[in-house]
Amino acid sequence: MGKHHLGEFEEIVMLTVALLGNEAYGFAVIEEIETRMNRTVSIGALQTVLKRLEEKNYLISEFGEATTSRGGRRRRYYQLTNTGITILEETQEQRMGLWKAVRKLGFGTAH
Amino acid sequence: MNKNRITWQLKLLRTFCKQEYLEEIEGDLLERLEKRPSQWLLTLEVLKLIRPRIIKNFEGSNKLNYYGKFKNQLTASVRAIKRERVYTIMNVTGLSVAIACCLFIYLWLTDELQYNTHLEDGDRVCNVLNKEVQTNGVINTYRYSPFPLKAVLDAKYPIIESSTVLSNGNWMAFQIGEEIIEWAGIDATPEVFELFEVDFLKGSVDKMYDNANALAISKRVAEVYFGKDWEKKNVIGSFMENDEGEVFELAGVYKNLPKHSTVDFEFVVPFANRVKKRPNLKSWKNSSSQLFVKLKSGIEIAQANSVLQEAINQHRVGEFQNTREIFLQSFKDMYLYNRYENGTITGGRIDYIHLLSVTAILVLLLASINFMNLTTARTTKRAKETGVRKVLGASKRDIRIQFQLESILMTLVSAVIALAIVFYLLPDFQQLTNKDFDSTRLFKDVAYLIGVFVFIHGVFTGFYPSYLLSSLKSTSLLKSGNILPQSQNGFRKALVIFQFTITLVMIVGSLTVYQQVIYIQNKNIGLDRSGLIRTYSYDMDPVADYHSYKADLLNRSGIESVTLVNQLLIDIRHATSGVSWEGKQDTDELEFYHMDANPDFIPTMKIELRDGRNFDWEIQSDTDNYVINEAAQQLMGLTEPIGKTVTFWDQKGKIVGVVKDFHNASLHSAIKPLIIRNQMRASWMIVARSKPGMNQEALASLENTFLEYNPNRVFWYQFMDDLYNSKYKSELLVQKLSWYFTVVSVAISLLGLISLVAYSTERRTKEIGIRKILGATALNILRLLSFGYISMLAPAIVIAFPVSYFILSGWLEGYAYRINLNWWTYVFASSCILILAMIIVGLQTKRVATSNPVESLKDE
Repeated sequence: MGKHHLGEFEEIVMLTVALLGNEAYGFAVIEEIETRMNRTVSIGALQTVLKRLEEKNYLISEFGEATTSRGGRRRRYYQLTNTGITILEETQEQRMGLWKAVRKLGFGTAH
Repeated sequence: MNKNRITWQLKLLRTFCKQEYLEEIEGDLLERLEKRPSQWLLTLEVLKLIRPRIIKNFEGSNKLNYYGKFKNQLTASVRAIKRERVYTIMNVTGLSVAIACCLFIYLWLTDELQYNTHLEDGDRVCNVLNKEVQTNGVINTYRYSPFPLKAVLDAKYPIIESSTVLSNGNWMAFQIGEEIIEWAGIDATPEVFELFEVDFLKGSVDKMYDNANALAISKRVAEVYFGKDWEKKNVIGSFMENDEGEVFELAGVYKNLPKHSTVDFEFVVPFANRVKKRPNLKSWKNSSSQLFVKLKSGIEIAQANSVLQEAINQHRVGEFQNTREIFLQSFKDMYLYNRYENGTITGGRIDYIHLLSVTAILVLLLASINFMNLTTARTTKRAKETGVRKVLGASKRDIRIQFQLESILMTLVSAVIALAIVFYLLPDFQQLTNKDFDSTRLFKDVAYLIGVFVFIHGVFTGFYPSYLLSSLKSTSLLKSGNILPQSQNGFRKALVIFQFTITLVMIVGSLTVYQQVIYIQNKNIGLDRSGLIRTYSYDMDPVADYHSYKADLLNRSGIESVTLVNQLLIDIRHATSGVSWEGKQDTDELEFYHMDANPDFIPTMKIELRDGRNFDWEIQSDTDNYVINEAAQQLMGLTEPIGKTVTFWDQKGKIVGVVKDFHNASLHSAIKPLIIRNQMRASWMIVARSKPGMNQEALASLENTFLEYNPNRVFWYQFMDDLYNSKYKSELLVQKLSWYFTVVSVAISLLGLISLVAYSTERRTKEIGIRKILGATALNILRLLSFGYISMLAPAIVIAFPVSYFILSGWLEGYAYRINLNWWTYVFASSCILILAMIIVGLQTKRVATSNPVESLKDE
């Protein structure tokens, strides 16, 4: 703990990959983020993050079956690794800890 | 759509994307394209994929040699640049300063060119100019037309879509709380909103047509008058009372006019209101309104001019002897082409735009020549490197690409430095030019321009050396020595001569501009303008209150004298042809300028009286009499003017005095024939003279007296000196800029000289060593080395003379009053350059000339 910090976008991507289960490939992740978070994501931005997370061993990936859509290109499906799941949980705990601390000061209870 | 089609975007992707990612990313891209079929979006996505993690590494790709070679070339270039640090610094400094100069001028220029370009139908909106053709052949040109002309144009000329009449300005003040705030507006016929495309935010233009006491105000005024939340209030139809008790009904609030519009007004009062107050506006003899027309689309200005030319002569009613023609100038051109002589538009601000942009380009050219000379000189030292490359199998193309890339790289560095310079000096430049640049927007424009420039300049300046080196045989390259053929020296010499010619022309030019500006500033304009302060009389009654005002003011400290006039005497605008005089020929149709003054005028201004006497307060009938200037006397053709009868409009009086000519117009034009009337009815401008060295006291006195008559107003004033100088803003700017340019161009030329001398001296080290051993003295060597360069100055001087004479005499012709071109300016400029060049060449060669020959001969 302490050594790994997830960026905001990294966290979103990982959560989306988890959410999509077996259907988590590049474009599906983008669509999911775009509809849920109401922000546009370029393929470039997503791919950079996916590759980085894979390098850090938070994600693994493999090619799917060849399809007739996408001009015959195969999809690459992503999955969370155990390390990935741990780091996500740690991140959440850290955030919750912070939130709790803030609540004690009375911030955020006004409404 | 064929899904397998390989679009160019995908091809682009393949050039940079890592092989292992390609299939996945292409798939995603195609899927996205299917969802949102937009080529533009696809391009954007591909461009956004250019990221460190996704692009291929330069090394280790399939095309092994390509990237490796590129990297090696880059390393070699960077090393070469580092090794020759001094030359690199010189090279880059010169070029970046020159680029910065160009950028500054570009900023200034784009701002100037923006004026009056905001109208959608700007081509069709034109200002009507009047030409008064006099019998003595002189044609006077005005921006003013008689008011009745509008109705004639509207009714009789179908080529005109609509037209509007504007007064020259209307200052109105409104009380807001304790304060009285004054705004500059105009009286205008309501078409003004249509012609100048001013949209209403609230209200409508309709009321402006039927109610002479309607009023439209700008958003800016509304915000001050009604508060920031004026839009929520029900302001339309409310009544606004100005400080003179006049009540207006608010018809509308319009958008603020853009900054770059020469027609600007904070409020509009219907022109009918002005006509009601000044019925003589209906006369064809009174030309004091600005008339703008909008032509029907498809009508050319030249075509319209031929139709409209006689509009006044044919349609005016009453008795006239003069001839008056009209012609159009498009609204777009009004700002840049603001000077006219003898009925034609002769230029104006556009001249300075041309002048400064040519200068900027020349400075850039100087720096580029340096750049090219130095690059060539430097590449010849790298003959061996090139030779080795060739032996190892480099093609001509490879060699060319290497050197071209190198010069692109250097240009890029210079451009970046130039941008930094511009960014750093921008506040000073804004102050100098008195402009407010939108720097972020402009930098965006410039970034694109710079990119193109870097590429073109890099390729262009790198072309010669790269061509030279790539074309030589590897054996001769490896043998080294002097690889530049003798014939090439001639070319480089020509470039140096060219540089010095330009530099000389610039020095002479800026010296001449400087002299002319000094001449303007120091010119005795026939009156003493130092210590004169102008302010306005406002609520004071010019006739009833003048004497008590004057007594009050003179009682206070610091004031020497005061007078009341109706015009700025150094910029007289009112003219009439309604003058007849004793001895006038029936055929004479001549125009005179006129102003209203009082007996205090001549002594206060310290204008010299040549004949006769000044007006006298004691002589009752003097209010019908006139004082004229020498130019008017000459125009009337009188040898004994004193006592001659003059009928000015319907007022018959005598000439009581003749004053020496004083400059009543800018020095661009001749002194106007002037008739001074002894009247104060329509006067509103107070001009006071302070006692020497007592400006502060005088201002305090003026303000206190002012407040007695105008308790709620804000006192404001201007010094006559500032008013005088403000007419020569362009000249003052050009004077300053030309100095900077000259310094820069001299510096660049000298830098070029330094580095060239250094190079050739270095190459001749051995030769010099041998000469010394054979008995040459240091002085011999010095002479040998420097003579070649100094002698290059001679042709430059010879060429620069006629060129600068031609340019400068053209520029000076724009002034009716000007300096003469001096031969010593040339001599001074030439000797300056000569001395500087000699010092520099001397310093550079001294080291070699005095060095021990053993040092130079033993190495290797």
